Amino acid sequence: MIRITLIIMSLVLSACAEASETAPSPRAEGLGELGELTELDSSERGASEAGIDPLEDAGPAAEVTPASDVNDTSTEREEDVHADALDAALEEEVAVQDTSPQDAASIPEEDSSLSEGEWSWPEGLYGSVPPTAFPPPEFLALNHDGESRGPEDLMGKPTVMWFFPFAGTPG
Amino acid sequence: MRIVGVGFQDPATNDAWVEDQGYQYEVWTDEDRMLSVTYGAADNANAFFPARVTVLLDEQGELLLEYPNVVIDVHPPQVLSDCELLFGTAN
Repeated sequence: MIRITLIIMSLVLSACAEASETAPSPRAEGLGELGELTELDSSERGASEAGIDPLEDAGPAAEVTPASDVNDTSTEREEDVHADALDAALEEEVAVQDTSPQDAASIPEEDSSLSEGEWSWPEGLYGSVPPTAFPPPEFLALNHDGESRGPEDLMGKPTVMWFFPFAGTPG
Repeated sequence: MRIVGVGFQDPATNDAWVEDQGYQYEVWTDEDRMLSVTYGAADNANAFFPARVTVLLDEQGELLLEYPNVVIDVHPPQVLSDCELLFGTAN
C-alpha cells in the first residue's frame, strides 16, 4: 500500500515539474508588449546562437525557446528599461538645471536686475541671514525704568536685541 | 547703534541687574512675549523664559541677521564684527 502511494506521489510530482517547465511565466505574460519583445529577443538570441541570421530566417532554433530563457531575457529587458528610464530622468534634470542664454534672456527685466544685485551680503558674517526680512511686530515691552516700549523704539538706527533667560545670568 | 536686552522678568529685577552690571543700554521686559516669539526666543507666549538668542535689526527695525545658537564666550565679538561689516565702525 505504501509503495503504491509513493509511486502515485512521484507521478504527481513529475507531472507538476513538467507543467512548470512548459507553462509561460506569469511575469512575462503580465509584461504584455514587453513580453512580446522579450520573446522576439530570445528568438533572435537563439538564432544567433545557432549561427542563423534572424532577419533572413528565423529557423527552427527560434521557434522553441525554453521558459527559463524567457525569464532570463525578460529580467534583462526589464533592467534595460529601468536603466533607460533613469537615464532619461537624469537628462531631463540636467536640462532643467542648465539654463541656456536664451532662457536667461527670457527672465523678466526685474528679475535679472535683482540677480545682478547692486548690494550683497559681506563675507565673514557670523549671524545667519533669515529667509525673509520682516518689520518688527506690534509688541508691548517695559524698559528697566518701567517705561513703555514699542516698535517705534526700534527705528532710526540699527539694533542688537539679545534675549536672556534670567536677569543675573551671563550673556 | 542701539543695544537692547530682552527678558521676561519685571522691570525692578532688571533695573537692579542693570545697576549691578553697569549696563549702558536698556533692558526690556517682554510683556506680551511678542518679541520673543517673533524672533524665535520662545515657542509661544506661555514659555517660562526666553532662549539665548540675538537678532540684528536695521534702522527700520527689520530683521537683518539672527543668532539662534549663542555661545556666550565668543558671541559679543562676533556680533560686533558683523555690525562693523554691515554698518562700519562709526555706528
